[in-house]
Order: sequence, then C-alpha cells, then structure tokens
Amino acid sequence: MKHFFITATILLLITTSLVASPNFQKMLEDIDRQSNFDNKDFSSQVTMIHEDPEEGIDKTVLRQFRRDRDDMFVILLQSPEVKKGQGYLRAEENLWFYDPESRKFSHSSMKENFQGSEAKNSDFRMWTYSKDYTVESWADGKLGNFDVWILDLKATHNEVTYPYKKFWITKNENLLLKTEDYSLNKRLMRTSLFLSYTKSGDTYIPNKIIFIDELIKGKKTQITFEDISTMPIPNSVFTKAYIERVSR
Amino acid sequence: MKQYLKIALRNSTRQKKRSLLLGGAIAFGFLIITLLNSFTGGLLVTIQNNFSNAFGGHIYITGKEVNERNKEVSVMNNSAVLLESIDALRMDIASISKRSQTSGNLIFGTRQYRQKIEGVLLSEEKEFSTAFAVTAGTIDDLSKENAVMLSTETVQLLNLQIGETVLYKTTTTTGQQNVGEFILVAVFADQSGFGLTSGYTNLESLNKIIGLPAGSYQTVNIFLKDMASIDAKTELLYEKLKTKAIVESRETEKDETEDTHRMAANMMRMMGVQTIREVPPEESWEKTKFTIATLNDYTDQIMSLVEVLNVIGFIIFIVLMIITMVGIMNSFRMVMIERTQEIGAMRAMGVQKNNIRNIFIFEALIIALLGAAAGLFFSVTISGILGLVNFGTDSFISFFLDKGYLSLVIPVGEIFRNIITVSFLSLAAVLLPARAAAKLKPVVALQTNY
Repeated sequence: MKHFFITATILLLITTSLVASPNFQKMLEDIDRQSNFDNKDFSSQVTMIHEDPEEGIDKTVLRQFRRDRDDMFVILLQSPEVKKGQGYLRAEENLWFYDPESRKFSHSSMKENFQGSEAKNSDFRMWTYSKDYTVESWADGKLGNFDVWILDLKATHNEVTYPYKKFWITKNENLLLKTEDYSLNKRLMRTSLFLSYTKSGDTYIPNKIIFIDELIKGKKTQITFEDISTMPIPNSVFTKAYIERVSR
Repeated sequence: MKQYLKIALRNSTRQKKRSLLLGGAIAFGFLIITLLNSFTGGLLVTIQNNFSNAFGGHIYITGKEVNERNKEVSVMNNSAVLLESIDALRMDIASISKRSQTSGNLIFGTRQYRQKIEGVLLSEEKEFSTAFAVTAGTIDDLSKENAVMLSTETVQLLNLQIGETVLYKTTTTTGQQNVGEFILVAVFADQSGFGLTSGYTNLESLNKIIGLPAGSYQTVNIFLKDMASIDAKTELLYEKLKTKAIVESRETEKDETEDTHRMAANMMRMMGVQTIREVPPEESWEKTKFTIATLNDYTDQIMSLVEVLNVIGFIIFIVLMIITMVGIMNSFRMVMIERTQEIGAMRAMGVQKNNIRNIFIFEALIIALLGAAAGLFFSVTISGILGLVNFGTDSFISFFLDKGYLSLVIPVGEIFRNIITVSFLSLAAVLLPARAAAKLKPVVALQTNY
C-alpha cells in the first residue's frame, strides 16, 4: 500500500509537470514559422539608426527583398550617399557584398555585423531557432504588461553565432519580445528588443527592433521596417546582374 | 699614355662652363637613376622584412580540417607529421614558431580597435622576448594567464595603461562569438605597420578564447637562415610532407580566379580571420590538410612591379644619356674645329694619329666619369637626408617604410652597370669627332684659320 502511494504521487507529479510545461520546441517552431515567408516573397524599406558613443549617429536606408523558400535575399543600400549602390546577395549558401566603386562582388559572412551596426547579416534572413537551439531551462514572468515565457537556449551545434540565448516570449501569441545573446563563455553580448509587430496574413513581422551592444555602453542600432509587401518578386532580382544594374 | 691623359685632363678644364654643362647633364641622369635604384632596392628589402615580421616567418604552414558538419575549420591536430618533415630542414632553419591567431575587436570603455592577436608558445620561442622593442611593462609577464602585449599605436588609440583589463571580442574556430579579457602587461614599438601589427598573448590564453584544446596551434612559421633559399627549402618541405599527409598543391591553378581565391583564403587564415567553408562530400578529407605558403608567394607581384619600375627607370636613364651624348658629340666637333691648329702643331711635332684620337676619348671619359661621380655623390647625400626623415607608421605608405623611415640601399651592382653604360655611350659619342681630329693633315691643319 505504501509503495502504491509513493508510485501514485510520483506519477501525479510527473503528469502535473508535463501538463504545466508547454512544448517549447513547438514554441520555437512557431516563432520560426511566424517570421518566415515559406510560400511568399517579402520586401520592405528598412531604416537603420546606428548610435555609437565615439562616432555619433548615422542613418542608413535600404531596400530588402527576401525569398525564404530558397533562403535568398537581396539588400540594396539607398542612403547615405557614400554607401548608395552597395548591395548584398544571399544565394546558394553564399553571401556576396557588392561594392559599386570597384564594381566587384566579394564574399561575406552571415556572422558579420551589417554595415558596422549591431545587427548581424543573418538578422536579415529567416529565423531557424528551432533547428539551431534547444531549451535548457524556462520560467514564467512578466515583461512590461505582457505575460511571458523566459527561455534559456543552448545551441545544438557549434556554428551558430551566439552559443547561448535567452528569449522572452508572449504566452498568448508566441511572439518574441526580447532576446539576449551570450558568448561561448556566457558573457552577455547583445540585447534585442522587438518593440512592435505588424501582421501580414498568418505571419507576424517585427517592424521595429533595437539591438543593444552590451560590451560598449551607449552603442545601439534601431531598425524599422516600412512599406512591407508580400507580393511576388521577379526571379531576376535575386541575381548579381540585378544588383550591378540598379547600382549604376 | 700618361702624358696624353694629362693633356686630356688639362683640356677638360680649358672650357670650364662647357665641361660643367656636359658633366652636369650626366650627373643629373646618374643622380636620378641611382636614387631610383636605391629606393627600389630598399623597397624590396623593406617589403620582405615587413611581410616576414607581420606573418612571423618566411614559410607559413597552416592546417584545416573538416568537422562533423562538413565545415572546414582552421586547426592543426596531427602536427607530428609536419614537425617530422620540418626536421629535415633543421640545418637551414633560424627559428620555428607555433602559433594560434584570431582577428577581433579590442574594447576598452567606449573605444574599440580591430586587432589580430597571436597566441605564442613562449616555452619554445626563446628569441621572442628579444624580438621586440618594449616601451612599457615587461615581456616576461606575457606567460601569465590572459596577459597581452600590444603595440604603442593600439594602446594610444584605446587609451590603455599597463595593468588595465581590455575586452576582446572574437570568434571561435567554428565561428561562434566569444569575449575574452586581457590584462595589458607590455607595450612594444610598432614594427610592420600597414595594419599588420599583431598583439600577442600566450598560446593557452588565446586557445581558450577561440575554442582550441590546450597545446593545439593553427600555424607553424619558419624563419630560414638564408632568405634567398625560401623557394628551394619550401619545395623540399612540400615533397617531404606530401609523402606523410595531405598537402594542398602548390602548383598554380589553371583558373586564375580560383588561384586568387585560394591565396586570399590562406592569407585570411594567416591573418587570424576564422574562415568557415562548407565542404562538398566529394571534396572532403580526413585529418589535417596542410597548406604551405611562402613570403615569395605574397611578395612576388610586388617584386615584379618593383622590377618593372627599375627597367622603366633604366630606359629613361638611357634616353637621358643619349640626349646628353648628342650634346657631347656636337661639343667635341666644336672642340675639334677650335683646336685644329693645335692638332696640326702636335701632329707636326710627331704626335701619332692614335694619340690625337685618344686625347679626345680621354677628355670625354673624364667629363663623363666626373659627372657620374658627382651624380653619385649627390644621390648618396640626398638618400642620407631622406633616410633621416620619419614619415610615421600610421599611414598607408608605412608598409613600404622601415619603422617609418625610407630604406635606401646603395645599389653597388647597378652603379657599376650605370658607370659602364655612361662610359660606353661617351665613347660612342666622341668616337666620330676624335677620329676626324686624328685624320687631320698637319700641313692643312696648321694653315687653317677659323
């Protein structure tokens, strides 16, 4: 009888914990899915305001074209004047940077910072958190007025830019509100705040993000997405020839 | 002969202005070509020294392996076979360095500076401590955990003091972000310039940051005793290593773009940029694939440009000299006319035709050689003065300078070549007037009155 009670209590505890613990892997998949445009193309006007305590404030405007189903994107810089004509092409697992001065493409990396800002080149492609990370621990809490899950993530392989991350996800719609990115030795390197979202079909698109450099006080980048469109984009846009042509 | 040489010497001073102008033209040409040769000669040595200092050797061996996710990473795990092969060259080696390196950002307060940091195996690199002009702190402390030695330029840019802690943001060998903390223990005077100056820490401290196991390293660099033997020794090492491990071919690719990409990728690895490339299954390999590069691989093109500069300089010198020689020829025609009666008198007194010709030739040679000597004197003086000017180490041209100073080498071989050229051209220019003077009939010459 005594054994029965112990076993029943253990089973009850396990069942309770399973019921209480949400499926975080599915949550990550939802976040990936919400930010991806599997069957559609995506384009937007992006404004980046970069603040550096040593160099001051600069503003960059660019046009972004994305085709997530083929893991492709094109970025064309429109201002300031000195950067006008520069472009990026993500295609066939490669990232190319185009310099209109030399009229040459050079190989770049998704892990590099975009134009010296706090944003990484990889921030302009679809998210793949469910593939790259597993949830190590979780808690529930509040972020401002939102009830959130706070997840500690660990990379599933050693090639992602940040080996550890911390996510704040809204409980009702699984929207990412805040992330913290940690180095291999678990030092906080970057905080990202997703200030607002816009809905396009079933997809939630963060349209205002702030990236804060946690190593240099006062260094941050604000990115705003405007003129968002999910209309089809011609195949010719995702080519080097297109970037060369529009950069003239 | 001595007598005629004396006459030629006296004749060359009879029309001082004319001799001065002819000699001056030769001196000017000689000055320009000697300065150019000095500059290019110094440039070759400076570039080679700056490159070998920046990359830490004359022969560079890097390793790359394919990891479990089919990505190429910069690492050298089975270095025993490499060291065995290097042992075959031991008589020709001045020093070997085994290092890891990475490129990242040093951060201090709100300032940051891009810097390559090299991890040095201090227990084996005995000469490391004497290779630097330390301006603050002590290099002996570099063996302490997380100790770093930086250049004066870096320290000034970050406003760092000895004993202060600086953050270092970089990537691991597989591309993950990592942040290390370094304590500044020593400052050294910039040596290579052109943004190639590294910072230094001990191997273990750097390995921890870039995710390499203790005792591992990414490159083996070799300083040879004789820089001229780089190609021969590299070939020997390549052939030896090829029998024991996978070595990237040193033959030039047929596709020039492919070749440039290969060299650029290797240089990125040497610069500490962690390059991660997806390796298609058909191209994959096991264990370490070695790449052998040399100083000459990276400086050959610059050397060729310098050679072209030398050739162009020599052609300009020849053109200048030919113009001067036309002047000499005309001047000596005038001389012949002016001295017709004198030649007639000498011939009447028994001086032979050959000797009259020789007096003219000696005179032209004296003017040419004195001009060359003057040009050489001025070029050495100007080189000496230019060599004292410090052009600084923070500009683009710093890579072509030796610690901020122009390195001008006196080009002994070229000087002899140029002297022979000037003498030969002078001889050719004076030959016709000299022969014409020698052919003058004494009676006619004595009666001639211009």
